[in-house]
Amino acid sequence: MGTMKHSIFLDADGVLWPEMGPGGLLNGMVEANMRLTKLIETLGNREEIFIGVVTNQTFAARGEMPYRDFKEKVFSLFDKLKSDMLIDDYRVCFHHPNAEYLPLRIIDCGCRKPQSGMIDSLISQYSLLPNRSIIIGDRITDILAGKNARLNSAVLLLGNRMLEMNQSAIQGVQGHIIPFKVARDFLESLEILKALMLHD
Amino acid sequence: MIDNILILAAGRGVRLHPLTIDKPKPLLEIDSRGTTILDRILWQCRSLLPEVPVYINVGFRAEKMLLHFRDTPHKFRPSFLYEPDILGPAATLVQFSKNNRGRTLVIYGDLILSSEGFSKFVRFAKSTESQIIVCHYRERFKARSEVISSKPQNTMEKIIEHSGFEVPFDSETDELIQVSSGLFLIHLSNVTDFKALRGESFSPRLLNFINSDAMSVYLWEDWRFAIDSVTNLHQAKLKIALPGEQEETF
Repeated sequence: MGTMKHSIFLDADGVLWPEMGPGGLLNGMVEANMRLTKLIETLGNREEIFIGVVTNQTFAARGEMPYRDFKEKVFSLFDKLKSDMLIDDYRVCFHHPNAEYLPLRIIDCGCRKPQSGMIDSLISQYSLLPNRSIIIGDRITDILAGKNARLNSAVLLLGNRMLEMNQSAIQGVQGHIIPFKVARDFLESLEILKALMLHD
Repeated sequence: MIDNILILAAGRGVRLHPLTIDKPKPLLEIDSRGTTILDRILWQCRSLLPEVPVYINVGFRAEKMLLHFRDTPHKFRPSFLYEPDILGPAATLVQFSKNNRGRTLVIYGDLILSSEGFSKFVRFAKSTESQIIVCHYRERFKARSEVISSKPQNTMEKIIEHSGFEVPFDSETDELIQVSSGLFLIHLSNVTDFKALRGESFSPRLLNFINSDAMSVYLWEDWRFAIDSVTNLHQAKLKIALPGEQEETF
């Protein structure tokens, strides 16, 4: 695992499946299978590419489902993708600064994007190279998480909410620029990904 | 060699209100086909410098800027530099220099340039490895900010900041003085240590800092418009309707 040529970090909602609101992943796994299969077909060399998923999941924090049940469900879904070799690993942040479920109400958890904790954790565990890493997200907070983790490139999927940021995130990037490429949709992001990896 | 192109397009364009209340100035349309100022700059860059990566900084109504490229084939789409909190051109360049290298062509995103003039400039730029400041002559009483004081051999000596009638009389050029044209070729390593002020433009302070590694002066002799009023937008539209100035479609 330490000899991976490139690593790709994917957001889940809006990337692995269409944005369906909190808890979308409960219905998104069929689409995730298809998109990840397409990703692997497009890039080839599966054994040389690390594929990781980094996702904020606030369904339980919002009180929509008991935390323990939701966490178990989320882990079982991503474990299935892992056992099918469609991804190598994943990290999930269940926290939210305004969580109704108090144990999940954490302001600076370090993992919730745009913070880079989830990416840093995967980079550290698998000895990945940030300068050979790319993140694909549908929100600027995904791209910012990639920037904070010093990843080489970022692809933002075009959408109506792509640049939404809360005030604390904006304050965190004052004086900085956030570089990225844009893709019309997930399929096009794969072509951009391939071009970026060829150029690297 | 030109390593990057940076188009500055994050500003609010307040002088063009109401046209730019809800739209970045580079997205103003300049012909009946819906071509924008930015499209034209990109077309000119792509035609003459097809291999050079293009970056656009975006800030004000950034989402409109990004969505503008939805139907552009991705290989022709630029990369973006998003400023949630608009920095100003000087700070943008400094930040850009921290992640990129080489000689960068900086273009103000509100410029409408003669294709022939841009072509001549690119030929000159390719013929030298030096830094370049592009300037043009302007009537003394109309110059407001940067005044280029160039030596006879066309090397920039210094930039003086004056405004309005305070601009010093230049005896060699009578009533005309040289001012910046909004096009620069800069070695990024020369700006990394510059301490930009919030909102600072390509100010005399920045340009004199860059000039520590001498800049050549290139005199722009063709038509050009920096769009800062409805009147000159209209004049520019008339110019680009001339033969040879239309953008080719993909």
